[in-house]
Order: sequence, then structure tokens, then C-alpha cells
Amino acid sequence: MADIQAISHREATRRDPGAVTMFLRQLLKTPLGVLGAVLVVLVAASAVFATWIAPYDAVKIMVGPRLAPPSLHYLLGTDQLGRDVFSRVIMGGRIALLVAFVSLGASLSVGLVLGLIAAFSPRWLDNLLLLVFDTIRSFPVIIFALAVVTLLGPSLASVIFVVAVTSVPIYARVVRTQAHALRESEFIIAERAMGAGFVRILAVHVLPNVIGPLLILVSMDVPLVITLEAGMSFLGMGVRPPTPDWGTILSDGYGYIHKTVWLVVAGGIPIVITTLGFTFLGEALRDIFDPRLRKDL
Amino acid sequence: MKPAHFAQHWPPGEPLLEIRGLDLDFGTPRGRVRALRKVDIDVPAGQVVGIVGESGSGKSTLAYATMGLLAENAEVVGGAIFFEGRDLLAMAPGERRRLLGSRMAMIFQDPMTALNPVRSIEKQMVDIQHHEGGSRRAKRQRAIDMLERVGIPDAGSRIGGYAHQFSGGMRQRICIAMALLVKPALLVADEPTTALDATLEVQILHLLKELQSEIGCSILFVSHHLGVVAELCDRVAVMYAGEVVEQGTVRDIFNRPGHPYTRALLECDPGRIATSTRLLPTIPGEVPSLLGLPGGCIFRQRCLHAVARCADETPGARVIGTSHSARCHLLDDKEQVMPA
Amino acid sequence: MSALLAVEDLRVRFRTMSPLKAIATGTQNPFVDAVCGVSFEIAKGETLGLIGESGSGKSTIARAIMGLRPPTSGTIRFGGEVVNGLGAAERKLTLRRMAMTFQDPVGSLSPRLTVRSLLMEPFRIHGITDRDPAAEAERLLNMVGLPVDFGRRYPHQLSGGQARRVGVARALALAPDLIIADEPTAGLDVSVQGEVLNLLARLQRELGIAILIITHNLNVVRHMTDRMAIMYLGRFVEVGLTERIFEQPRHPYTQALLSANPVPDPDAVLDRVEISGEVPSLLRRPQGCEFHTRCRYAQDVCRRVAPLPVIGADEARHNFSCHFPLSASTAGVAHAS
Repeated sequence: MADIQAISHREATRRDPGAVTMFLRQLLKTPLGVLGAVLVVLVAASAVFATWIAPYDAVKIMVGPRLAPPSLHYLLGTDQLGRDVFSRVIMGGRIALLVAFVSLGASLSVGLVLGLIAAFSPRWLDNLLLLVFDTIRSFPVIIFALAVVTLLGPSLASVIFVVAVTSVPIYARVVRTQAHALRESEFIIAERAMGAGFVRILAVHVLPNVIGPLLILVSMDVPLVITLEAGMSFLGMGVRPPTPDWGTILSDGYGYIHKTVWLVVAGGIPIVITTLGFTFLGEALRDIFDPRLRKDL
Repeated sequence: MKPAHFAQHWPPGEPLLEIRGLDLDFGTPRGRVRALRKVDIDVPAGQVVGIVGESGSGKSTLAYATMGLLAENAEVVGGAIFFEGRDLLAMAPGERRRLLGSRMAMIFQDPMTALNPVRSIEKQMVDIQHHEGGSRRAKRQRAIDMLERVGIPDAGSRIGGYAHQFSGGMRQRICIAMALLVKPALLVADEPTTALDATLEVQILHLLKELQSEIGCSILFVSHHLGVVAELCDRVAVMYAGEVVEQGTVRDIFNRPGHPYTRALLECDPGRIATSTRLLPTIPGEVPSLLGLPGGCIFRQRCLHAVARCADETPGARVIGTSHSARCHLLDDKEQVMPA
Repeated sequence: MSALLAVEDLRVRFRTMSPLKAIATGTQNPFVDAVCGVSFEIAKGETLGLIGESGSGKSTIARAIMGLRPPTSGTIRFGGEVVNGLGAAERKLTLRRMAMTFQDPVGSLSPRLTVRSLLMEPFRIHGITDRDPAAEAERLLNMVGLPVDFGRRYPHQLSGGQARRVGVARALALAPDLIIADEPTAGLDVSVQGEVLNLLARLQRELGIAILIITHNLNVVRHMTDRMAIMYLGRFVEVGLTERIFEQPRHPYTQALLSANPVPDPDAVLDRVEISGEVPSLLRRPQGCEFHTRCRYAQDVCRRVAPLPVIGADEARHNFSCHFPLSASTAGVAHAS
């Protein structure tokens, strides 16, 4: 017999497997996504637990013979000052991820705010902001980096600053486009019809809906940032010695390549692994969240 | 000279389209959705058959399955679709595709998305005749004649225009013109009037009626609008949650409905309620989820007359009149008269 | 008798292009008049239906009343006070007394909020902190016949009918005097349309709320409204008691609309009045009576002179604008046999 209370109760208790479970299930279906996730976790964990994993002090010189090849004692060999390269690589991961998170975090926040403002402001302000974004983006990044370093001197801070500033326009534009599309959606109109103010609408209703694609973008940008940072250090414009850094290791290895190839390998591998990991993960995330690309059978 | 009633070389009254036992599943992140189950439909030549159902009934899926236009995650698990005696599902894809745009054509709910926005109407209408011979000029003339027939004024000069230059009603007429230009034996129409205003709906209905009798094609007309179906169709199939629960002539269905769902649906339609009332009838409950179906009759949970048997056994189709059948256990026992 | 809502000569005009573009293209009048001088009243506890097809301006009127789209001219009075042209703070206060439900049931609910949060939004927006949000959400869900567990669901997990009820619950949150229901049955199956309509009717009976229903579905109107107004191209062409209009439409457009409603009965006697053509674009309004291009009774005067509204003098307040209004002999509509 039809019993609406019974039906409703049954409907209500039939819980959808939570969004997280479904997301994980989807992720496990893409082999590359799983690989990416594993690599990212690996890199992140090694950076977080660096002090416990690194067998030697990364800056201590002469813990072993100079330019030794990899062995059980020195997993990736030693560099020209006798420092354990493996320890340096692990500690270098900290720098890489620190730069990535701080700079991307900053540009994410600033981009988010500017993008939301641009989307909901009158036409003239929107156009002005877009002009600013496009101007910044038209700068070749390396040239901009050189200019900043000349002004502020080489340091970690300079790197973070350059990365942050050059990423802001991209995120701001993405946020602006998404938020603009939401402007006329029915639920925003419904909130306005209830008397919700501008700020409330942005913070409670728009922001959670635009942040998804943004986070995917960020995931895909991490490798770029890390490469940029390594590049700047390689050119001597990033961190100062003796701070261990993948770019510096590469740079050292470049100088001693006729003696041993291992330094270059040691400096390059972590960059490759991190790039692959974040890229695979980012693409898998994008495919999962884009319903049109679904092929569930 | 092509015969005017091109479609009627198939003996009238014989089924042009026979869907037998069609089973179709969709793959989703939550599992397999059993969208169509043991669907049987008969479309005789030269007749209009309406598929009526609410959301989740599978009527649009059925239309797309007939045309072979399903999404990638759809899988036909069983059954056959016989068109002019041949099983569409057993054909080679190339052969099946040759039927589209020559023997079968389709019109959709949203005419704006059915027309290519960057090509002129002329180009689209000439292209669609690619199966047929004749010069480009002849094809263009045929297109213009068809546009005039569907009521586009000044067709000769307007044919060069683009989709966005026409209003919604005009676009749907153009789509109908394109579909019928090739004089198909079967026209599949998926909710073609749902997006139109009421006054336009009437015009399009009349147009379809006229063209259908002129060309003699069959129409498979999918709709949730009972009034439209009553006016246009010769036969009706009622679908609920992926099954055809009742099928018969239009008078059988509307005047002597056999299945409890059909009866309830007709009661709920405000157009049937002659006197004004502030309390409208509804069917309590919801359409069941098509993931992991329980056994038994699909309508059992919302049926006021359900008995124990309905939970255990899925009802097969019972014949309750000439070419009128319904899937309900209660129709077995003639003495067990259902309350009117 | 002072009406709850009184709209006087409301006009809403949209810009079709920026002033620069207008100058560049030489367009004299880059405007479109969506609503052209509409006046009506809704009494406390009354239900009025606004009927029209696309381009009629009915949704624009709703938005103007809610303050989402400021009118170009005219007055809107609510509870005796003028409410258009108010500052943001004052308008917010007025919005506590009127609420709206929207056409897209799921789309009008913010996708990342749970049903409970959605129901608490009105309280949060107006800074009402003296009530327990959980209790309020529960009360509202009860009112619309949804189980309390639904509070944890997200909009995409609701069916069309359930989402509509949430929309109604949200509208009821602050106990408004007026609810504007924009296409309350759009997208709903026939078998569940009754749910939301019965709900609205019950709430009206129990709480004495006035309802403005905007729809193109005449069946809804017949069962739900006391009075109705038919709109065409931004103007009222006929206003009056619903039953009276159904029995005896005076305007040819009303007649056409009533007969355009296919009845689910294959043997229905069809006195079908088919009107030709389509709704003219708002950018190219016909001269004289704006309906003359599609009217089967159009005569020469209809093409030249716009008809003045005939105001019904009696209690029924049956108004219509037509040079040759229909009478009992000419009117005939499809009915179920």
C-alpha cells in the first residue's frame, strides 16, 4: 500500500554514498590519477618528514668523499663539497613546496578577491581590472623575475613574489569568468530577493561554487612554480648557498658534469617526479569533475 | 516522378516499427541504471503513436534508442528493434546510419540546438538531401517548397538566413521541414512542442497532423502532455519508470484505461477536472530509483490497489481489448473489478 | 478596503544597447518596453493569477514588485506604503513581508548549502538571532510536509517536487503576507503538480497569505486563483474573476488561450480558435491594438486605434481592452465531454 510517510522515511535514510567516497572511487578508476596521487603524497611526505628521513645534515660539508657515486651510504652520492646529495634533495623538497604553497596561496587569495570584484562590479571597473590582468600577463616571466631580483636582490622572497604576482591574473580571470556566469543564475536572484547583501552573496553563495575549478588549476600550476623556482636558483637568482635546493643542485651538477653525471640526475629527478605527479593528479581531478568527460560504463 | 506517398510502400496497418523486449542500461558512477526493461512498442505504418510518460519514464531514451543516438554509457542488453522487418540493433553501423535521414528522421525539443548556428538554413536543407539524386538547384527548390508548406513566409528569400534570425516557432517549423523533406517512413518527435507557448503549440500540432496525412509517414510522438497526445495520436503507449505499462488505441487509453497508473495519471491532469477545485489529486510518492530494482511490479509502491502478488511477481502484459494491453496482475481476474 | 498590494501604472523599460552603440548604429530608440502601464490590486488573502506567454512581461512585474528590477515609472504600494525607489535598508525590511518562489526549483537553491542552511538563510540575512535555527528549519519542513532528515540533503539530491517544497518552505520562513509564485508547476510532472498547488492552497487557508501566481498554465489558474489577469506584450488585455473569464472570455486573445489548451480527451468537442502568427517582437510593436496582427476579428479601427480599457463597474471588476469584445454568442471553448 502506498504510505507517504513510509516512502519519505525510506527515501531519506537511503543515503547517497558520500561525495568523498564517490570521488575516491572515481579516482581509483584512472591509473594515471592514482599514480599522480601516489607521487604527490610521496613528495609531500618526504618534505614534511624531511628532518627525520634525511640521513645526514644537508649543509654539513665533507660527510663523505667528494663527488662520490651513489652507494648504500650515500643514496644519491655526494657533491663537490662532500655533502650527501640525498639529504640535500630531501631538504630541497621543503624549499620547493614552501615556495609553491606560499606563492600560490597568496596569488589564489588575491586572485579570488579581484576576480569576484571584477565579476560583480559595473562594466567600467570590470574592464579596468581585466586590462590590469592582461598587462601583467603580457610580461615575459623570466624577464620580470630578473628585474625583481635586480631590485630586491636574490632571495627566496623574491622568488615567491615573482611567482605570486604572475599567477594572480590567471586565477583572477578564471574566477571572474565563473562568477560572472553565476551572476544571473536563479539561486543568486533568489538570495537577492530575500534581501541578501553584496558581501554575503559573494562569500556564501558565489565563492564555494567557483573555488572548485580554481583548485584544479592550482594543482596543475604547482609543477610550473617549482620549475620556475628551480630555474631561478639555477641561474643563481634564488636561494643563497648553502641552502639546499633542487635548482642549485642542478646548477652544481652542470658545472661538474664531466666528473660525474649523478648530481644532474639527482637534481633533475625530483623535479620530474613532482611535475608528473601534480600534472597527472590535476588532470584526473579535472576529468572527474567535468561531467561531460565521463564514460562510466 | 517520385510517388507522393513515398512511405506507404510498406503495407498500411502492418507494423512499420516493432520494438520487442528492449532492455537498456546506463552506466553511472553509482552503478547500472536499468533505464528500459522489456519494452514492446508497435508503430503501424501511417499512424501516429504517442509515448506518454513523466520524468524518469524512459520515453526520451526510447526515442533516442530507436534512432541509435544514445550516449556512450548506454548499453542495449537485450531485445530488438525491427524497422521495415529488419532488426536495427543487428545491423552494421554503416547500414543503420544510411537509414537516418532517408527512412527515419527526428525532431527535437529545442529547435535552437538542433540547428547548426553557423551554417545557413539553405545549406543545411540541401545537405540533408544527400541521399537523393538531383541537382543542387532542384534540391534547393524542394527545400523552398517545403518551407512554404510549413508556413515560413517568403521562403525563397529567407532560406539564406541563419537559425538565430528566426523566432522559436519558426525554427521548429524549419526543423519539421528538414525532417520531412526526405519523406521518411518514420518521424521520431521528442517533445517537439514542450518548449513552445500554448498558442504556438496548437499551430505546430495542426501542421504535424496535416503533413502526416499528406506524406503518410508514421510518427513516434514522445510527450508528457496528455492533451496533445489525445489530439494527435492514433495509438498510445504509457510508460512508467522504464516499462511500458499500457498500450492501446487512443480511445482505449483515455476512455477505458486498464492500468492503475494510467487511471491515476488521467485523474491528476487538471484539464480533465471539469469543475474548479482547490484540492488537486496527485499520485503520492516518487518514481523509484532505477538502480538495483526490487522485484515485482514497478508501480506497486504508489498503487492504491496493490496486493501481495504485486511485490513478488513482475506482471506480464495482459490483453484487455483489441490491440489493448496492460501489465497488471489485477487484470487477470475479471471478477475482481477495480473500483472506478 | 485597502489592498495589501497596489500597483499603479507600472512601466518597466530595458535598454537594448549602450548609448554609444545606439549613436553608432543610428538607433533612435534603444529601449524595449517590457511592461507598459499595468495597474492591479491584491487584497489580503486573495490569489491573483498573471497569465501570459513569452514576452508578456509577467516575470518582469514580479521582479519589479520584489525590488529586483526598479520600475521606470509607476508606483508599487505594499501595506499602504510606497515600496519602489526605497533605499537598500528600507527595502530589506519590506522584503520580510513578501517572498518569492522561482521557476527552476533546484536551480533557485544555492547548490553548496544544505536544505537546513537554505531554510535558515532568511533569518541570517535579516539578522534574526533570537530563534533556534534548527528548530525553525524543522518547523518549516513540517509545514511543507517534508521529513526532518531532508535538512541534511543538498539541492541536487532533491527531486523537482521536493525542491519546490523547500522553495515554498523558505518563502514562508519569515511569515510573509504575500508570496509570489513564478511558474510553480514548471518542470513538474502532472502527477505531482497537485502537491505544490495543494500546499499553497492549504497554507493560504491556514495562514491567510495572499498569492500572486505567474504562469502560462491555464489549468493551474483555474483551480488556484480567485481572479486572473491576461497579459499580452506588457499590457493587461483582460482582468476579472477567474470563473467568469473561463465561462465568458471577452478578449479574443483570452479566447484563443483558453482554446489552445488541448484537453486530454480524444473525443473533446473542439471549438478550437487557432490564431495565426507568433507573438510580435517587443522591438516592433504593432500599431493600434497590439493584438490585431493575430486577431481573427480584427477590423480597420483595430489597426489604427488602440482600444481603451473598459472598466467593469460591478463588484467583479471585469476589465478588458477590445474594440469588439466577445459576447456569449461568439465565445466558445474546448471542454471535456
